[in-house]
Amino acid sequence: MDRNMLEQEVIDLLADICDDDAVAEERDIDLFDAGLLDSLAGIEVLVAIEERFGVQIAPTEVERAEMNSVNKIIDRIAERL
Amino acid sequence: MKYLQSIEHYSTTRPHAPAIRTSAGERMSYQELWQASEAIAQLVERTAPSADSPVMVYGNKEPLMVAAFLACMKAGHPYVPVDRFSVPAERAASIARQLSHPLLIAVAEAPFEVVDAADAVLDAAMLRACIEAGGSSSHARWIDGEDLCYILFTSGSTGAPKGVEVTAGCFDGFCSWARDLGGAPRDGRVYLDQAPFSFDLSVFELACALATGGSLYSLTHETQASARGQFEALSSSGVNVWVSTPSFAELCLADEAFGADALDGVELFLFCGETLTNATALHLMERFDGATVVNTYGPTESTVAVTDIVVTPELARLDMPLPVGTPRPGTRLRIVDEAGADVGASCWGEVVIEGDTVARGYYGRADLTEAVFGTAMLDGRLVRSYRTGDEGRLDELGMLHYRGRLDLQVKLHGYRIELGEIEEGLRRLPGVSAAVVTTVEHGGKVSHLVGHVVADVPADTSAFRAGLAIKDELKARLPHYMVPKKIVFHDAFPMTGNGKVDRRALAAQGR
Repeated sequence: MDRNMLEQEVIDLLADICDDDAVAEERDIDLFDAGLLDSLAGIEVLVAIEERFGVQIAPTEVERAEMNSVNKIIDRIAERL
Repeated sequence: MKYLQSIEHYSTTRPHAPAIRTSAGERMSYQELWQASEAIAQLVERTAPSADSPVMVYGNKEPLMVAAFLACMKAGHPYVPVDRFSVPAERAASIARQLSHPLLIAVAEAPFEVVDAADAVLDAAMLRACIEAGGSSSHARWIDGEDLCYILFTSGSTGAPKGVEVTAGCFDGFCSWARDLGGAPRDGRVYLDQAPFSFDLSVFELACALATGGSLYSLTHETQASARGQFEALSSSGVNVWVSTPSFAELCLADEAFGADALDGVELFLFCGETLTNATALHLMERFDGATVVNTYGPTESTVAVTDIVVTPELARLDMPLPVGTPRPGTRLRIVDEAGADVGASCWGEVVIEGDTVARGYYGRADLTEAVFGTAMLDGRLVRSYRTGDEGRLDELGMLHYRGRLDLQVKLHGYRIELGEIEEGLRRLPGVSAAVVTTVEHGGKVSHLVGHVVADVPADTSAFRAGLAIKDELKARLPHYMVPKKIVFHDAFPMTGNGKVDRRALAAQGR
């Protein structure tokens, strides 16, 4: 999967869970600080990543600070693909 | 008060047994807890502005919080628990102002606005010095019967939180039932203490653990901020009785390692605060073979919970939502229509709770109290009654089924929220002329809130940035769980035929 496709899919997935299309333009914003993700929605993100990309990330494996923005989430998936 | 007598008993028969351990490594034995609360009680007696005036206790999960609660019970003052992470400074100050210059026990450093609204402050250093010096309470001042035990502030529909007044009798009545849920308890069990003390779910473990010689294992805010740290803390906690909202258990279940191998001591799950779904119950029973799952129901106004049911795999597999159970001894449930008359057998209506754990009312708000509290005769005794605003049904077995709210109160991840309070918070912001908050549901549960706003002036940034700015302002005034996930701007709100804001249409646009 090339980087562009990955980015687009992650943005779609996050726009869905965050219930806001603006995440496409706000890729470095802290999604937890912005109130777009909470702990439960964070779990939803991990489950969706596993379903779409086959990449398994356990909730206890990464700290929130490593996965709190669109770009960081893309990086964490890219590292594992 | 029976509760204090039980703790006193354990402080002499098993003085060195742990009463509290926290994930930050703090611990307090029964003897230490007893002596600390004796000394603080004497200090509270001397410093409180007047007899039986409320005392605000501010902090997170420090053992001193619990010592301060007990001290207030012994000194004859109701305590008002305020968690410093889930209650923002401005809201804590608004609570303090409602209490009109209370004594403030600041176990953790309190913000300026809160201190400013208090009469006097006892900080952690003063508490430690006082415990070091020792002291004792006067038995005559111990609360009992109709004396207030605690005042718990919950979301109020008109913009200010309201304080539910729970008496010593309510507390003891709740405790004598709750401690036996899931079978008669053995002494010395470890209870999970996860919910903030400003959320009355925490009264479950506070009451049951210390009344049975057990101990609290408290997860601090810092520990809960990291999934990894929390998992490690839980697996080394030795927890036997799990107390949480279903949402918190669901969060833990997302980790495959969360099960009987990692937490081998868990024998009982106690749930309260929101709907327990069949799927979550089944999931837990798979991961924790042999553990008992108990679901309960009740509003803060009737002391934490009043019904219970043991959830079996057979029950959870049925194609219907789990019932919330049958009433505890001392509680009677009625289902009424809008006029307050009993509905027919098995019909839906509003749940009315009558019994010996119904709170006295709302602190300083006779108007609000009168609207929903009343009295009833139960087994030849005069008891209080409370109209819950919950929609429910009693089936032929006397089992209560819960369907939702009849008004604008919602439950989000177990937290009780009045949408009206958020709307009022939005309207108070500069530039906002009208506001409505709606909910988005997933799988039969509220998943998040959407704030709809009509602005006076068009935003000079993107709608997203303008929404972010509004959320930031709300965050300073409201608990984090009351801040909507998304803010949607409208030129005007849709109206219904009779000229009211069309909430249903707005909710559809928020989706």
